[in-house]
Amino acid sequence: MTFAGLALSTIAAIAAAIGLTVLALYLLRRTPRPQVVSNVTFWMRAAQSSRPRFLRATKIPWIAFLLSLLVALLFVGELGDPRFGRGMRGTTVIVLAADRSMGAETGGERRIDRAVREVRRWVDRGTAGGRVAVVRAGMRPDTLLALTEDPSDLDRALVGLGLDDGPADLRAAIRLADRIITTSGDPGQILVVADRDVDEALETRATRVLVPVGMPADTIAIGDFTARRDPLAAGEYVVQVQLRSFSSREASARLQVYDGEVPLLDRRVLLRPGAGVSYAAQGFSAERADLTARLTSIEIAGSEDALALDDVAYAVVPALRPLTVLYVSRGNPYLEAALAVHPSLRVDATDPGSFSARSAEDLAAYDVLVLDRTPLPEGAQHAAAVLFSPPSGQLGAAGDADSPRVTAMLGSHPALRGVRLDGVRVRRALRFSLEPGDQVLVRSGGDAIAIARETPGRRTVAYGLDLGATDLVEREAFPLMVHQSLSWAASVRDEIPLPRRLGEPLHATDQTVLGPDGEPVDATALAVIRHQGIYRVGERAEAFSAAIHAREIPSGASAARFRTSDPLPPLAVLVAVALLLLMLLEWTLVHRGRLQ
Amino acid sequence: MAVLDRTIRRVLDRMRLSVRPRATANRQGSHRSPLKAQGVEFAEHRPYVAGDDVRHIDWKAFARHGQLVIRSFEEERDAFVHVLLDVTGSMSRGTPPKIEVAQKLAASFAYVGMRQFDRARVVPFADDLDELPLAVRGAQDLPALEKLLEAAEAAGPTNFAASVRALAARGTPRGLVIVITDVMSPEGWDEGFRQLGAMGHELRVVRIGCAEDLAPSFTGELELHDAETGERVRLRVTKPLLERYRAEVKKHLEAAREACQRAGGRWIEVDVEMPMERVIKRVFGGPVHKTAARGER
Repeated sequence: MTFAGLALSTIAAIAAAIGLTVLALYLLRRTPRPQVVSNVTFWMRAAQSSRPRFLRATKIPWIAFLLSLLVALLFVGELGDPRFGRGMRGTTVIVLAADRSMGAETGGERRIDRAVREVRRWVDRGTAGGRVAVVRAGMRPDTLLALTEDPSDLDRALVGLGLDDGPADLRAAIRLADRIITTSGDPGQILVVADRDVDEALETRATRVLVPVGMPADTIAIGDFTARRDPLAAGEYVVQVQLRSFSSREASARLQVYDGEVPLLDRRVLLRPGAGVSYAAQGFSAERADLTARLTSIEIAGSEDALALDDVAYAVVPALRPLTVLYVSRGNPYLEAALAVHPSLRVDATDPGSFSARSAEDLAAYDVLVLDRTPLPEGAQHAAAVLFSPPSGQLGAAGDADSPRVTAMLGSHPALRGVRLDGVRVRRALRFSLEPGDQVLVRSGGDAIAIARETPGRRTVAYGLDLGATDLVEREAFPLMVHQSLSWAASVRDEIPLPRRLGEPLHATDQTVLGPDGEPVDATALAVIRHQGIYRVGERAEAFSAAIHAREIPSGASAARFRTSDPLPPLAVLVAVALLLLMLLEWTLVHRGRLQ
Repeated sequence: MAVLDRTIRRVLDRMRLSVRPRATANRQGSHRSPLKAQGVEFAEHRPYVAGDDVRHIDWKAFARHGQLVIRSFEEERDAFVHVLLDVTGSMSRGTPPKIEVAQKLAASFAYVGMRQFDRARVVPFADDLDELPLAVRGAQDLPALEKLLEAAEAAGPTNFAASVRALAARGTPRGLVIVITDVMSPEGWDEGFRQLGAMGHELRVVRIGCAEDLAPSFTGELELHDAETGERVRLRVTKPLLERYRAEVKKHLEAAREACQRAGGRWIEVDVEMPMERVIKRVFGGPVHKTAARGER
């Protein structure tokens, strides 16, 4: 049961009304009923002889009236302000959780709706004797309602209140609330209206009280959703979906993946209690793809899916863009063939003499430089370069490797993704001297015969293998190695386009950003993306997905306190009604003769 | 007679009103008197003295004993029956009102007195007496009695002592005085009863009670209206106060009963809720004095 939390003016009005009611009942009780008797003398004698010593009978109704009035007014005070007489006035800051789990729906009511009702009650209660502020605890906490003494301000503040698709930063919100109380200079308390408590170790100067909302609930969620270009099939992409069950019951759902309006995947999936399952699909070919994964027709035995937000996820496959390559060589048919087989490359070839004459601006027009037995000049500022047998200059060889052979390779490096060099014969190779931060891609014994160097704003891959003295060039791995090296050096051109995390900023310079609904996004909202979906910055699309935040719906420590609605009226109301009924009953009994 | 219906009259036809010999009147009647004179009921023999009527000498006794003795007989006289009817305000209380029962009783006494050739007179009283009505001697007087009773309304205060004094001042002959009242006034009863006894009347008090007087049940904030004086008293009536009131009334009634008995009177209690036949049997019952019509009982 809760208290009404009425405003001071309302309390005063109720107190006056109840006071008048008690007075009226007293006067009615004291209004004598006429009774004709044979002779009043005997009654007077009886009254004189039966008068009590210490308390006159005529005083009892007056004392009863005062006691009734006192009790009624005390109940009115308790009804209006639960802190009555408890010294809890001052500044109250309410932290309202507004994250994804607050959208969970149980019994036809969302947690946030219940939470807003609680906030209204506490704002009304808090403004009765002090000031109240409300902090919205989303992914980034902000002040929803500044310190005020007027409860009607809350209605204006709640206009447009929405939930973030990511988790709330309750700790930061509570610290913000604590600062508000500290700066106000008044004693106060922090009320956290949320579906979970924060870490007890969080120290606050003000008293912190949890006002829990919500009930235990089940949900089936998309835990991960990615799409990437298939490195083995140019122009194609692969989709991977991971589902999680946050329920202790068997569940099933219909999984659908769309590219725009085109369905790519549609299947019924079964999930065991608490289990996860992954589905992958490949072979899709498109210039670009805006992918949406949805779970529909969710069935949980004996329960229902409480959270709809985690039933959808987004990913994008960026459009293919040709990679411009400046190929500098005296002539290497293997390398030229490897460059030629890649469909997304646009290659300009030149010889080392012309290369040295080109300006830096001219070179900057290319995404990546491929230098065959041509040194990268000292001081050259190009961001991406793939070097084969560089004799000198930047990343120049330190000498020949002894008895070169491939003894180890860094297969996990993006430049060698999918490449196998098992059994590759090498008759001649250069070795490189390493600098801090260099990664050895291929090692021949203790010599580094291929390295990757990454400095801020620059990526370089250098292979010491003499392409004329190895059978690598004849292998299938060679074109892939060239392509992966180009891709990595060209700075994530073909990296897996992982969805962005909610809460991160979206960078857009002088470009209009369209949100998931197709409407322009306000510039202030770009600092923190709060809602999942596909955002468009010009021709670029970026997916912000909440799937990474999928987790069990919190239900708090005490299920008994997590009620969605009060089954009974407030305690004070019940007591006040009972008191009123008692007074009416008394009056009826006293005046029963008159009622007949 | 509207006051007494046929059923009551049939019951009253079997009733007699006995009067003590000392309270009889001076006309020929049916009650024993203390006088020895002509009559039909032999009383005693006494020695002849000069001046006695020689017709009363018992010659048979002279023949047997040789002494002159006179045969004396009891003289039967009639009686005055004074019915003092309380018509004060308190008689309006009760269900049915006490005054209704009192009117029937007064009519009953007059009716029975008329049947046994007594002179019955119903005298309403409150704080004084009005003109004394004529006594009922026969059936021709009943309409006047009925009119008198119908005109008697229960109102006004009680002053029984003053009423008795007024009765004495009017030279009322000695007889049977029947006081029909509720005795619900605190003073005057002792003095009135004592004066009636001193006047040589035979006193009979019929107290009519009701539950409201003896055991009221109303409680709460009350404004008590005195039915006789109209006085208003505001009281919070509680159960202890009710108990105390009952004790006060009981004490008062006991005192009045003792005053009645000290005056040689007889105290009879009836209640308004009692059936009229039972009331009549109670008020006409009790010790019966020797009468000329003894055989009729």
